[in-house]
Amino acid sequence: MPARAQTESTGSAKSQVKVDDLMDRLATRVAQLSQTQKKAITGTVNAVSVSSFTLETATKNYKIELPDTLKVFQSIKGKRTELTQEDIAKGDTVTAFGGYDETIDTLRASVVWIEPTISIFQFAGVIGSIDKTDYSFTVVTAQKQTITVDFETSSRLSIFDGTQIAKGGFSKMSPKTSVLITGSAVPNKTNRYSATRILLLQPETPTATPKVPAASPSSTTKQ
Amino acid sequence: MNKDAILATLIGFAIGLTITGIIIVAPTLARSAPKFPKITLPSLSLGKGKSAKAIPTPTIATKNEGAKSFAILVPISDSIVPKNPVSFEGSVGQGATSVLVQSDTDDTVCPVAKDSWSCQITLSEGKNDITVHEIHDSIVASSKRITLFYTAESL
Repeated sequence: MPARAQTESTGSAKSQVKVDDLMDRLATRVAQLSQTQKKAITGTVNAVSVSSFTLETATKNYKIELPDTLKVFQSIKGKRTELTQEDIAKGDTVTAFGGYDETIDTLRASVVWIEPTISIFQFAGVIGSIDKTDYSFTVVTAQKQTITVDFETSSRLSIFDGTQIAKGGFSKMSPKTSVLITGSAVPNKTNRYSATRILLLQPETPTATPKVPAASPSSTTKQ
Repeated sequence: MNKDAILATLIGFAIGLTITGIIIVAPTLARSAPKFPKITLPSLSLGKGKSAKAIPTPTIATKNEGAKSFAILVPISDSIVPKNPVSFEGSVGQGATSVLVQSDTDDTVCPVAKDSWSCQITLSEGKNDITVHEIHDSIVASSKRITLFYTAESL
């Protein structure tokens, strides 16, 4: 065989090996992608290491893998701020976004959002009594639970008249009015919440006794 | 042995053979015989001085299949929302005047058209717990809660 033909044959064989290798890697990657699905998990961080951390949720613990391309964000004073992986600390409440591999029960995170630690509550009820001296009022929920709500200077009160929402103030509140509350729990006080938003549902007739609403307090982790 | 004795023996043998044959063959014949319809006689009840209670005509319970109930159809809870704001759609029960959505940042009124509702809700990044209330004349009739996830980054 001539030397040139032999060289061409060897080069062709090498190219074929490369193509085969590429095809194998492609097939492996496709198989990996088919096993993962986009998922977001919220929980509390514990057992942090360089390349991963464990996320504790109400139902189970998830292993979160942290690649070099990971992006970490947090809302600081209302501003979206980009942080680094080192800013994720044990005890943080975070939401991890990424590809979840069910077979190994692991989420490969692409974005981690550090959530505020303050628990936000949303509940509905009927205004019971109003204390105009300390700017507080009670709300009776559907479960007949009486909750005291503090009206703060930062609290936003709105009135829903059946078609639209208008701004209002503390003086607009009256007993037996249906109300939706968004707020956070007052530390060391049972059944007492600090309102961030109050939405009054204006009844059609002031004398009508409103039905007890169905919603009950439930916590979220938002600021 | 005289003729009479022989005759009596033969007659007895014949009768015995016949009876045995009937016992053996009769059940098989009875099974293979054509079946006749069972005849039942009408039952008669004579009056006992009391009038029998009238049995009410059974009524078939009809479902109002067209009636809808309060539900959030879109988006699905625990899903990642690809864009912000997100469209909310659902159905309401009879008598609903409006739907109110409590998100982490705002309260939004969703108008009701016939038996469905829809509106746009702006989410914050991360986890969003949303409470949706069905309103009947300024009264919360029922509430539902969903959790949504949103990030502005591409996943």
